[in-house]
Amino acid sequence: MAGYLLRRALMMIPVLLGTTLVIYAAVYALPGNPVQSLAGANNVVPPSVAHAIEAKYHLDQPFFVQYWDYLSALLHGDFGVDLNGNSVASIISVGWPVTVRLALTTWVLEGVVGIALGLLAAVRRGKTIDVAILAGTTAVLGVPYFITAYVAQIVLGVKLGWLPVSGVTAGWPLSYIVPAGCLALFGLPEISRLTRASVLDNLRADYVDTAVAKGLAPRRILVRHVLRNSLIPVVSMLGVNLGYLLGGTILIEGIFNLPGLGYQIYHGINQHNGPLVVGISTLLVLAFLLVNLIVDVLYGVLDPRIRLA
Amino acid sequence: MTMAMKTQHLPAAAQSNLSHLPGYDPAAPALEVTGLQVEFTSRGRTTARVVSDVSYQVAAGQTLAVIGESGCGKSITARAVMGILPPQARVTAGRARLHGVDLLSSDQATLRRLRGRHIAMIFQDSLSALNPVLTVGFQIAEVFRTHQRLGRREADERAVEMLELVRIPAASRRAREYPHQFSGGMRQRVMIAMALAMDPDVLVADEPTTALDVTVQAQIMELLAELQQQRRMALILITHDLGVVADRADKVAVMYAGRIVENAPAAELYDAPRHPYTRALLKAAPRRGTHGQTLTILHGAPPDLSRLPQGCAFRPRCVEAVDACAITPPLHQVGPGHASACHHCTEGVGDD
Amino acid sequence: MLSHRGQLEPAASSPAPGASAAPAAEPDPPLGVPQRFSVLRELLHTPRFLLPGALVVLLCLIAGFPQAFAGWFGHGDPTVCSLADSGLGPRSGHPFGFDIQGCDLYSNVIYGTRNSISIGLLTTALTLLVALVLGSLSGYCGGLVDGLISRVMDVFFGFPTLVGMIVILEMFTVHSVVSVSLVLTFFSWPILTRVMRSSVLASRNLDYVAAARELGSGPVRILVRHVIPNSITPVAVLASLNIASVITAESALTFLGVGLQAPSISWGVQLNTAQQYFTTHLNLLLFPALFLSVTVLGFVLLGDCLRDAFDPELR
Repeated sequence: MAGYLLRRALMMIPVLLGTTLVIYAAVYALPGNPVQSLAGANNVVPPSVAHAIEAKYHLDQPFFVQYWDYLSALLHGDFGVDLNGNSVASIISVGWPVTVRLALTTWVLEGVVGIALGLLAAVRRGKTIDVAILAGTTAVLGVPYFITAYVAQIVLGVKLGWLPVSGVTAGWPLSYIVPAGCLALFGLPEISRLTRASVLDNLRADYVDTAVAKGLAPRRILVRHVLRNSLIPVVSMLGVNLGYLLGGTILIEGIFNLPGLGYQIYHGINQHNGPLVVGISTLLVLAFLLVNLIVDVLYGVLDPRIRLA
Repeated sequence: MTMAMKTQHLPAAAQSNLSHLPGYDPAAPALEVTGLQVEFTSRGRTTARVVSDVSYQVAAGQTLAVIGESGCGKSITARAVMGILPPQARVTAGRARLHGVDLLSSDQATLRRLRGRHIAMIFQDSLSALNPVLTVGFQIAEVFRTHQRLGRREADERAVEMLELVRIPAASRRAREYPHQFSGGMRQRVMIAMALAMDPDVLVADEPTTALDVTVQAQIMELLAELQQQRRMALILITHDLGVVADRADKVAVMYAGRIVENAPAAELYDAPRHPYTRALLKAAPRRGTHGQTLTILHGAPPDLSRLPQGCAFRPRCVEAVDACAITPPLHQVGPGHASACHHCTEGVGDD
Repeated sequence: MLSHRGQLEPAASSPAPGASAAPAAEPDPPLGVPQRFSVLRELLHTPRFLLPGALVVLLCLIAGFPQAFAGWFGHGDPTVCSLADSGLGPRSGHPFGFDIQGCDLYSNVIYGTRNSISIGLLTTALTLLVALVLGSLSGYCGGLVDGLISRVMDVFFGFPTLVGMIVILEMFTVHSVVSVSLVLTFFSWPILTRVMRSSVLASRNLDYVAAARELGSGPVRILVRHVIPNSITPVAVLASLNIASVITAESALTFLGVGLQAPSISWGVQLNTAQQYFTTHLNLLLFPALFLSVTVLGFVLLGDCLRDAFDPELR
């Protein structure tokens, strides 16, 4: 197990380098004045700030020197300064807990509900409940989640007043229920369908024949044998989903006014505050890589063939 | 293990659950299949009868070999008896009696008590037949925990004993390993250990050695024979390998296109086969003394079971076919324990 | 390099020979051509395929010839606007009412189809091309080439895609259909490429491919004549689903303000405007959202249907 972890951690390093390089290149290496393009065509950058940024990022140096400086600064937790002169790192430290709460709540929600629905649909294959779940998840796939978010905000929050739909004053979990629910709709259909397909595949497997031939009860076969095998691809997908989820927080936090990192990016984009957007995005990428590592660990726990290869 | 030892390690209640069932008859053969018929429906449209009117029986301590080409229905018959048919398949007629108790008309709860306990099965592909994410010891221990209600620790110990019985070295360490960490031959031993855990009356082995090397094959067959003798177990050996059959079987049933075309005591089958298909199979097998000669090939392919022609299914490939073969031949008795489904079989002995 | 992460869709693995327990007389046909055509023919007769199929065709027609559809109610020009009509509800001649600028909403929504579908189709076409080339190379050549391409794929898998797309689009000055499509392709190619790679890996070892190699065929010929036709099914099936997710992604990006921008006519732009006004003017949100959802659903259902049809287990 330790060997497997080490291997995965080592493989993360080139990916880390690659992603930060791509982000950095996209922002600072494209033709034109990076400071101006970071600010967008309409913003006027005060000369003092422009100079500060240029000096900070050594924009007159060869590309790889710039990149190296940027990388080493990152590793020291220095995410630079945004167009308003604020330290990006301090903005991050304020917004971070909100985003973590939202992301985790959503992740658990879509995982638990998705797997439960998929399992139900699989064991009752072809019956009404299966068709209903399939239809429901397909319908959800069609409607973009930001639309649902608005509608939910109006209906649940304003018209009906059941749940808070703006800000975090009600704390966890109340303030997060509707936002997490809307965001979960993004990944839920896929998780549910994958679980269903995976369970159905495993129900047909040879080892199920063996289990029946041994005289095991159906419940035991389902829970002890089929489920563990079925969850393997689902865990993998949950990991990938987190990537999309982190992007989704941008929209959801914006709509529901949750002061997290996504909210900062949302408004950063509107204000063309380039360094802020880039700084937080980099953090999100790093966080995603870390979570993937954790998911890989989970994967190894579930599937001994991977762990003991 | 003697009969006395066999009953010793089972709690009293568990011993007699078969004998409580309706139809139980200790004098009846260990397994008797009569008139079995299995049909396949694909997508609700075509129905194919994959097993027609199949009957065979095997007594305690006997080995019955069921041979035939791929697709002849030999595996399906066994799966029908065990109750693990694929979803498109249905038993439409027949009986399968385990010491007189009909398995095909028993309810699920009863069948669950019998499977693994009085009748067990091992499969060809041991890698896919074992659950890849559970340890080998766990999978064997499950049998004890289900049928004998043993606690975890005790069941694990018994599992290790079973692994030692099938001669897996370092059994207690290996019990904690996973199927993919074993070689093919070792895995098959694990399957055997799992199947024999509760000392069943009947063991069905579906092509147990097909996927193995020749030397390993011999070891596995040796092990099976030894364990069978010790426990006076009935063994049904499903295979297409005539060599394996010759050494180990007491009786042989030959299947073609879902029917039994010949059954006979093993020695007699080899000396005096009474069905053209059997004769062709024997001729096609390379043996000592045929070195340098051309192999006699059996031309053609088995028929599509959803579009079976009238009459004898072997007719298109048979060198002895005549007009009378347009009527499906029933099984004729041609000797004690020897029957053949051919119109010619009453006419005299085939060469070879 | 063993990476499980690419196998997202269990049914997208390479087509397998027929079910083991079924009574087959003739040997299974080699994977690829004969199987596909007979399945396609069967498919065309089921409502499950026909309905989304017809819907997709209709949408493509609307996207190709919006003029023909926009004029149905008499006011087919989306740019004819009068502030006096700002935000009015549905009425005769204007089934969807007016938008904030006073332009006919119906024709705007119709014209919006063009941009969204174009981006969907263009992105998917580009992604398929990249997946085809890189996936084949990676799967067939193996070794260093495979290692390199797989490593690059990993980098992209390590990206939260929306975030990445936002960052890059932020930097672009021009936001046209082409530039947005390029960015979307930039982040969509790994998934399809990975599926193509697995597919090629599986068919590389087939007997008739080995036979072609022995007979002296060069690698390009083998790739084009044997390997690609054989492995393309799962990728082609995913194409429809890909279009759906691209359209959704584009609408999200445009909604955020980094995709297409006004004066481009696009659902995302319309939804962006609708944010502020929809409590009082529901039509501004409802109609673009409806069209968007129906479009995405159409492609999703089509893709689902194709995927199930090519899944050998369900036959």
